[in-house]
Parts: sequence; C-alpha cells; structure tokens
Amino acid sequence: MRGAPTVAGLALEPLLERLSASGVALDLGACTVRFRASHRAFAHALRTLYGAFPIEPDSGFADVTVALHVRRAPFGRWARLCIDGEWPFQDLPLAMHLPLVEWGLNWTIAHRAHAWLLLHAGVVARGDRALLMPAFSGVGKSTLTAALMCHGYRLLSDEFCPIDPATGSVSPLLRPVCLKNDSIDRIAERWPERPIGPRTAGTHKGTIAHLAPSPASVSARKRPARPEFIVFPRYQAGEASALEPVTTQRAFVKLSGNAFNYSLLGEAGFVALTNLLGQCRIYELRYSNFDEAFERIDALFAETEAVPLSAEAARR
Amino acid sequence: MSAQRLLLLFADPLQPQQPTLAQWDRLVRIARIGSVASLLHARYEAAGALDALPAPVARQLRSERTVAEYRIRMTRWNLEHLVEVLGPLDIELVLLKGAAYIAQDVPWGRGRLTGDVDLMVRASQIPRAEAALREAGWRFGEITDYDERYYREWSHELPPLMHPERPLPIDLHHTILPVTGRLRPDGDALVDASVALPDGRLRVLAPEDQVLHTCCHLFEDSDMWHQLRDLLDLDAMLREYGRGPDFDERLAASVARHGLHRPLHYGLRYARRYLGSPMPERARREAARHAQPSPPTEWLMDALVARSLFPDSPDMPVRASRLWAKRALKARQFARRFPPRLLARHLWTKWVRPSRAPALG
Repeated sequence: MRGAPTVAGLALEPLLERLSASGVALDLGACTVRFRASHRAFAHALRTLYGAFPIEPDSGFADVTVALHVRRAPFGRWARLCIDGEWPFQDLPLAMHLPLVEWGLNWTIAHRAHAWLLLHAGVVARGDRALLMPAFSGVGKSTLTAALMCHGYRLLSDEFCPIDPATGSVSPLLRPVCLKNDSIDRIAERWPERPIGPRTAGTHKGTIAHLAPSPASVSARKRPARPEFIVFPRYQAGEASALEPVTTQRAFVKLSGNAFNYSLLGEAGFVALTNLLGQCRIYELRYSNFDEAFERIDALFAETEAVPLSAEAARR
Repeated sequence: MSAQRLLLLFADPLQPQQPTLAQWDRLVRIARIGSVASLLHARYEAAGALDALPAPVARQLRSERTVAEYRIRMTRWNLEHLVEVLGPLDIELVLLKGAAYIAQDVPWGRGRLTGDVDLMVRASQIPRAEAALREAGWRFGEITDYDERYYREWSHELPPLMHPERPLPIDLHHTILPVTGRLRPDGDALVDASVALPDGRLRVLAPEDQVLHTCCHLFEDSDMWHQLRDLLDLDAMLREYGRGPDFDERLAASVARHGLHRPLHYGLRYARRYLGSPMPERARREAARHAQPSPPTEWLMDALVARSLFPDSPDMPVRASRLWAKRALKARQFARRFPPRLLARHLWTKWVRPSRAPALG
C-alpha cells in the first residue's frame, strides 16, 4: 500500500480536484466505491470519515460510482445523487448531501451484493473471530457496534454482513458508522478523540452523524473473518445485564426475515444461513450501559476457543 | 464506442482481446443501464469463459445474474399458477417474450431479466380469463377510470394484474399491437399458428411470429429502455430459428399475412447492422418491397435508433440527444398507434390535464 496516498494524506484542495476530475476510488473490503463530487463540504467530510483509506488507482474497477451533483434552484441548492448514470433518489437540500450519499450508497450496495448472502447486521471481530449483531430497529445495534470498535474491536461493518456462500466467512464492508440522535453524544463524550463527521439535523431519522472507522479496521479491511457469535442486543435502561442463549430455530426465523437477499438467493441462501447458524453460538444480550456489554462480550471471546479460519477462507 | 464493444463481447465472449479492468468498469455499468448485465454473465457461462472475467467483474455480473434467476424462478411459479387457474377454462394460453423463452428453455432466455409475465388469449376469451384470474386474487394496481378504458378499448392488453403474494405481475394480451394502430396483426391467427409446449398446457407463438413480435415490440410498442435486450433476443432467434429449413418462407408468409412489413424491415436492418445477424433473405425482400422507407425517413430512423439504442456514458446523466431520440421514437409510435382524434384526447388526458390539477399532499 506504500505509495498510494490516503484520503487524509491529500490536502483539501488536491482532494477536491481529484474528486471532481477522475473521482476517488476506495476499497471498502467487499466492494470498491468511486466518489465524484465538486462540493467542498463533501470533500471535507470525506477526509474526516474515510481519512485512513488509501486511494485506489484510477485504472481499477469500481462496483459503484456515486456522483454528487449540486443543482441550483430559485430557492436554494439541492444535492442530487447520480449512481452509474442513473439517479434513483429524490434530490435533498444541499445541507443533507452527506446522508444522501451514505444512504444512497447503502441502497445501491444492498442491490448489488447478491454474490453474498447479505445480512442486515453490525459486525465486529477480534482478529479473525467475528461477532454479528443483527439489526432490528431501536435495539441500538449501530451504537453498540460503534462502542465495541472504540473499545478495541475490529469493525467490519455497522450495517452489512456479507457471507460468502462458498466459505461461510464474512467480508468487511467498511464504512463510517451512522449514529442517530442521543447516540452521537454518548459516543462523542466517552471517546472524544474519535473523528465524527458533521451533524445533519432534520433527516427522517432525526439528527445523524457518522463515526470514522478506526485505522486498524481500515488496514484489516481485506481480511475476512469467521462468524463465531451472533448476539441480538437489546438496550434496556436501568436493568441488570444478561446474556441468554437463543435457539437456532428462532435465530433462523429472525435472520432470514431481515436479510437483504435471502429469498433472492433461493437455495444458496438457505444453505448459507443454515451453515452460518450451525457454526455460531447465539445469544440475546440485555444491557443498560456500554461497560456491561463490553464485559459480557469480552468474556464470550475469552472463554471460548478460537476456531482456526479455514485455509480457503483465508486465501480470499 | 463502449456499447459496441459490449455487443462484440455478446457475440464472442472468448475473443482473445478481453477488456482491461478500466474498460470493464465502463462496460459493466453500461450493461447494467441497458438491463443486459445478467445476460452477459449467461453468455460467458455458456461459452465456458467465466474464468476469463476478472474477479470483481465476475462478482458484479453474478450479482445481476442472481436477480435474473430469481425472476425466472418467480416466472415459473407464476406459470404453474396460471395453468392451475386458467387450465380448467380449456382455452389456448399463449406465452409471449420472456415467459415464453423461460417456458421453452431456449438459450437466450438464460439470464434474461424479466419484469412481468406476458400471456395472450383470444380476444373472445379475455372476459373468462380475466374473471378466473380475479377469482384467484389477481387485481389491477392503482389505475384511473381513464387508464382502464385506455387499456380495454384501445390497447392490446389489460392493465397489469397484481397478486399480493406474487412478485411479478401478469399482462393479459389478446393481440401483439394496440388495436387502434396502423398495423393490425390478427390475434386469432397468431393463436391458431401457436405451438404447444411439451407439457401440453401452455403454448408459445410460432417461431416466425416470435420474431415478428420482437420487431413490433422494438419499433412500435417499446418503453425505449430495454431495446438493447430486445435486439439481442432478435439476434438469438434469427440465428436459432434461421437454421430451420422453412423458417424464411414462413416468416415471409406471416409478415404478409399480418401486414407487419415495416417493423420487420427495421428489426432485420438493425440486427444485421449491430449484431451481424444472419438474414432470412426472402422475408427481408418481402418486407423491403412493401415497406422500404423513403431515404430521408430511413436516414432519420438510423440516426434516432443509433442514439436511442445504446446506453450513454455512465458518468453523465442521460445525454439530451439520447433523450430526444427516445422521445422522437416514442412520438412516432404514438402517431402510429392512435388515430388523430384519439391521440389528441390521450395527450389531453395524460399530459395537459394533470399539470392543471392542484398538487395533492
């Protein structure tokens, strides 16, 4: 990687120049995204949130190319997202350009990642041992994923868990973590040194801000991990923490229901999900603060043996 | 030009000069815009050339292919259901386009992206077929009274029928072109000539009529965004059906029978120009004799088709010249499908009146 500048390694002006000319391609692990934009605030946010990513050569292949255009209208300026020559989304006020890009990218990745079984889950790992936290609204999955990363775990994704049907391994799909409302301060107050991007108020999810992935996570983004734990988190203020086993059957129903492409994959999806559940320990975690959650999850990793990653998965 | 490079790959996936990664970057995006990325994967697979694809390219094409295969499974599922629901009526059930290729299991159906199930019955059987489908839970989506009248009186199909448990809609046809148009193929004759599939319950158009239907669809009734896919269908059929000893003769007879000379003329012209398709000479001469456009018309058509057919550079919003070419081709279709008074009425209802209505919500 030496020689390839990182996003933060470029000053704002050269970065903006490159963004508006050939674009800036970043390898996120499972896929490569090329950004194009001429909007200064976007370049600034890109440096904060994707700063540690090396810029890929222009001669490569990108799975997605997103171009942020600024449209001038009589009443203010609008952000328009052009994805590979099409614009599938409504324009948003320019102040919301960052959520537009991030959500647009989420939507596009979810529609193009059918080479994997794509679960809707946050993923962190210790070394190559991965823990999956399936997403159900309001359980605090993104917040806990962010907190675990700040606590020292490797982040693979806060949103997407791509399972390779051939090997059963999970690939990183590394993006900034999307924090909402109160979570922003909970993370920012406890880990003030962590870079958080600009706050955008008034989105349909309230106020949101993104937390940059840790540099260690970025440098490990080409390393797949072996899923060993599935934890359904549930944040409950004021209650004692608990970790209780969940049956495979119940987990199957929950995971197949919230995967992005379970039915699309047909039999391959069924086999991949069955294998995944067969190789994981599955729990529900109730917690009321980060420290309880860390204690429970650290203990999970400590008291179980690491299963070596299969040679085939390691090669990929 | 990238799009033509793409067509070369379709013609010969094994060609020694494979694109570089940077070229693939453009080609995959162009193929995706043209709805043919999944088809390209199927072509590479059929040629045993998947190993020639760089890993990230293979992954993207496989992802598109997965979507196409899902729709194919859903189409098969719809077909089983159709046989169950409409079988007892004991009428001919003729599949069109994508659903037909899937049921026939022909090579050009593999990996083809299908959005709906097109089914044709005799016009006289439409009420019974519609009643049976409604009985089984199929409903029109949200449509206005005008839309319904438009479909029922002036079109060749009913509004799309949806089912709450099934992802793909059904389009129920009684012929292959709008009944108000200049060209009026005989729907009953098409059903008479149709061919039963081995299962005995479903039928498909005769090969020559499948070719005619694709030409009609391309030039008389297209949504203007899937033309590349339809032209690839046409090429595959000309190659496959063209090997039959009497195909040319039957195509010549059918084009005369249904008066579809102009669409066949254009279909053959652009299939040969862009894909080097083999020509059914007799039918081609028959079409040209009756429907050779004047040189200025043909020049205009060449220019419009060239602009409309190929997806733009993926880095830009759609280029104005391409949009105008599509609009011009669409206007040509409208002029050919509606008599003047009906056209005026349709434009008034669809374009002028809605823009005067107060905005809701």
